[in-house]
Amino acid sequence: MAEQRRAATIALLARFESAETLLAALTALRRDGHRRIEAFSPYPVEGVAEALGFRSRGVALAALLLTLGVVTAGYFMQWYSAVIAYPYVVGGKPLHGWPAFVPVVVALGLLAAVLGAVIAMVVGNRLPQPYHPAFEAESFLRASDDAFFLLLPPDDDSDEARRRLSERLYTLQACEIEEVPRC
Amino acid sequence: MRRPVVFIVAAALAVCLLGIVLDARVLVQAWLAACLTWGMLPLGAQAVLLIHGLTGGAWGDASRHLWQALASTTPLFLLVMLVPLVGMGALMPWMAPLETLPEVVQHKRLYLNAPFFVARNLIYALIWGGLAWWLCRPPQRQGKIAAPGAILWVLAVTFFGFDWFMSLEPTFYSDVFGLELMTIAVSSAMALGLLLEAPALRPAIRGDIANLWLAMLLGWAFMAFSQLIIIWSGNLPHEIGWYLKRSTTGWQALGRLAFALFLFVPFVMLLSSALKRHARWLRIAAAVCLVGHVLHMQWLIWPAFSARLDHQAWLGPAALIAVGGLGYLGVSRVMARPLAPREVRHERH
Repeated sequence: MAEQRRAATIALLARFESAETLLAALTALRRDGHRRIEAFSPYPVEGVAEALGFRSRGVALAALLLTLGVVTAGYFMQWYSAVIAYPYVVGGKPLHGWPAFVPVVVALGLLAAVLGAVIAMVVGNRLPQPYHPAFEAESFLRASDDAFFLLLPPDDDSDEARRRLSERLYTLQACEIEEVPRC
Repeated sequence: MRRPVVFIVAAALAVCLLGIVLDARVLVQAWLAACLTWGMLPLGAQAVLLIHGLTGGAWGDASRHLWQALASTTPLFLLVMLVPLVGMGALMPWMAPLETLPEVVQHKRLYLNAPFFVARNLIYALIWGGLAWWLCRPPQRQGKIAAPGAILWVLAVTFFGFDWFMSLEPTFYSDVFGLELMTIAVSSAMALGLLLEAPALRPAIRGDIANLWLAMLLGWAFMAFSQLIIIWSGNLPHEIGWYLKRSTTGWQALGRLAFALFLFVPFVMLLSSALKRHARWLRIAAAVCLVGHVLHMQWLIWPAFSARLDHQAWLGPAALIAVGGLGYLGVSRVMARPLAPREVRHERH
């Protein structure tokens, strides 16, 4: 039973010696048609995000939408309280004195933009994540030290596909390959 | 491209000469508006060079020649400013006899008087002329002038704003005005730089300059709004009058259009990081911003003068074309021969 589940949900964790070989292998695997790849490195490697096909549009979009929503709500709140709920003339100004509403809206808008970006970043990174299948591999501790890893599933669950991917990874200069549960 | 411009400039100058005969006062007004509109560009380019001198960065190394080309037209700006300086009697209400002035202006005569005014302008000319000359040298021969240069530049622009913008309406006073003028100068100069050279810069450099430009535009919005909300809240006659003049029907529409073109459209166009690296997109945004800049400067200056629409309507554009065309000829002459070895190859032509 346990054996069966393992076979159905396997992924390969390949260790590389350097950032250059990681990037070269990543590019080649993407060209082979692999899409579900994860990369791990001790420091940010330039080009990896692009090679993974990563787009950060979600963060900007979340920040923009939250900002627009908060700005609209903040302006409405002030307009409602000054014009509808408690119409009170101050300093001879019109009830709907828009210049007075702007600073509050700008401050709220900035807060919303920052919060939106941070929340979208945390959620987009699937954090908080106390467990990751890659932790099953003994060597993975080195991901925060001196080793570079790629994690990807074979095309299907057959032994044949697993063997093929493993050979491909070795030709791409992987120095060690471990099997971990698929995430 | 240069020959037709020469003809257009000559024709515009001829119209201005006709203006001297018909209505010299309006001509000086139009000439001042044109000088201030276009003069912001070399001044802003100086500030860009000074900022880069203070902070460094690849964006400035790759685009220095561009800002130097713009800053090198500073002498032309100082030269054309001689016309309003000679004609200041026709421009400045505080030149009228002392007893005819409102009391608040009488108290300002210690500062606003002809000899001191001319002396101050001489100092601005020395500061800006010296900065332009110094900043156009090759970077290894510039030494450490960025910090003192930036301080002098800020002081000169602040007092220049008091003298040539605010003193047209001598009862008006605003602390923020000099800062607003600085943000106008730098954002319009960066817009012109991107309009001229965006295709010749690397995409990453383009994106960096676009980010700085956007920050400067937002700085302008901050300054302009600070002034508005302080004066609007205080609602004191001398100050709010400045805005009231500028929100009568025609000027209000022009002011809103200028705000939309100078800030709002470029702001929305620059939101996307990918498009910020796109040369054609940036050039469109820059062109829109520059049109907004020209309109905005007219909105700042013209309501100060009593309306003489019959002559102002044609002398204003004629002076803008004449001075702007002269500036264009100056910039294109410098761009044709590089000042410093360029890091980027020209892809245009």
